[in-house]
Amino acid sequence: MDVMQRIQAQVDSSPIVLYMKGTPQFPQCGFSATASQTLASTGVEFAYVNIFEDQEVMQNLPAFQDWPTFPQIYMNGQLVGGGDIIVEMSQMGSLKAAMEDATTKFNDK
Amino acid sequence: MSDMQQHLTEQLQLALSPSHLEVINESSNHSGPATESHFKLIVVSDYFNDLALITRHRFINNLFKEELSHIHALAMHTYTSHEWQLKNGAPDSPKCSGGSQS
Repeated sequence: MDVMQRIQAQVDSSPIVLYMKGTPQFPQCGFSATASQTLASTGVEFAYVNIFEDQEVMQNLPAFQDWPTFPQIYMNGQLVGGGDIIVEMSQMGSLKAAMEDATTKFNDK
Repeated sequence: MSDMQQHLTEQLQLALSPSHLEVINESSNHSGPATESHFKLIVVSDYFNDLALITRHRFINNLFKEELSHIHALAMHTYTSHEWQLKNGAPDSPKCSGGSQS
């Protein structure tokens, strides 16, 4: 499996996948910390990938859905955006519903 | 104003004719010796009307494709004038905990 197929399999394996630097418990970048805290604040479960543990994914993820920076958040295989977008969605009150919706669709598949 | 800050400001003015624009150099909040590594943009433009957040961010990412290979972080807050009126300000960027590079 090449790296793009591997990333595809990761984003398809859970309704919500966060690619971050470090882990939610030990984030290694302020933006990744904010993204994981913001997702966690909804109470909806999400999966994460620590890009520092997979150099190949880290190098190729920007090309996967044409997004140059980390963190990146996927819902049902589609890029939702980076950390700033998650924070804006949370402030607008749409994040929890988007995550719940992604989870419902995933479970119905 | 630093060279990069000036450059980002000029490019955004040309591309989006913003009614409100802030290009903030946040590099001093972060670890490491670089003085032009972290920036935050607040862009209010009616070009964003009817565009999803991801589309707005992609537009700016593409505008600064080359620059993003040099700078570590570009936080973005994009609003239409209507959204900006409702909002009164953009969120703070997080502090970097250091030890990492892009």
